[in-house]
Amino acid sequence: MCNLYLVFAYGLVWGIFTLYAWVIQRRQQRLEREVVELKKELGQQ
Amino acid sequence: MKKIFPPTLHLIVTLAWLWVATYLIFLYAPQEATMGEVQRIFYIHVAAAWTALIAYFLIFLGSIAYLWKRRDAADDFASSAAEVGFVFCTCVLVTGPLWAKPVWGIWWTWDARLTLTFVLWLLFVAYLMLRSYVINPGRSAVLAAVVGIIGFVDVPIDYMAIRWWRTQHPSPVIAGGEGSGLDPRMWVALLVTWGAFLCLFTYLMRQYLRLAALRRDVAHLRRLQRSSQGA
Repeated sequence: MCNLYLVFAYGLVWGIFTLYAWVIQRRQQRLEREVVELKKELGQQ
Repeated sequence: MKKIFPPTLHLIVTLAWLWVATYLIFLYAPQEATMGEVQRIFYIHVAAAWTALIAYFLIFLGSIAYLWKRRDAADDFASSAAEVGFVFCTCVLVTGPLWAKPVWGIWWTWDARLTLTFVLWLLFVAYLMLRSYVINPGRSAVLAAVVGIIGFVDVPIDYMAIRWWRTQHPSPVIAGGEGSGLDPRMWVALLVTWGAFLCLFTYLMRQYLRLAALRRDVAHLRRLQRSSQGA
């Protein structure tokens, strides 16, 4: 029989890692966009 | 580093390694006689705990390097170890109670090892909170480095807790004395899982370091923008 505690433990750990990797990716993308915009603005000045 | 081992390759290696570790945990390692299936939590619990202890050791090294040389790279290194280490330490605190409940009959007890691991998690939180709430970057780096160095006291005590005090937490599998030790196939599964976690840890640290570099770029560009607007 599948042990629920085991399923929860592995599910939560993979969930935490995936969530953190996704969050860090989003933060990177936001900053990359900001860098492009700032460079564009500075180029226009 | 980026040229020799690009992040995409690092991610592929990490995912493949994690896949192998999962295979070993569920299909290679034998079932433990008394605890049964639930004992397989042990592999991710212990691997995450060892990784979290290493993470704090890296904070300690980065903090000393920052206070000594005042280089941003050392500060970024320490803060990346703190953020990723916090994630691993959270995994330890999540998997521990899920293993304890079916085996001990309780979710949590204020046993020496459990309490010290909770203190370690609070130290990660304190470090990260200092970074977020102190506005002056130089000041926040110095204060965080001080927390990183003082807090390291917890690491060896946490590691030795199950050797010094015999309480609820099981005795160590390495050098734990009589009655300790593991089946060789369990050892293989544990070490491969730990290797996979270290690979994931370094991959996430690299991602955080890229984030820190981008933050510095944005700050630099904003300064340029302000100075060009002022001129």
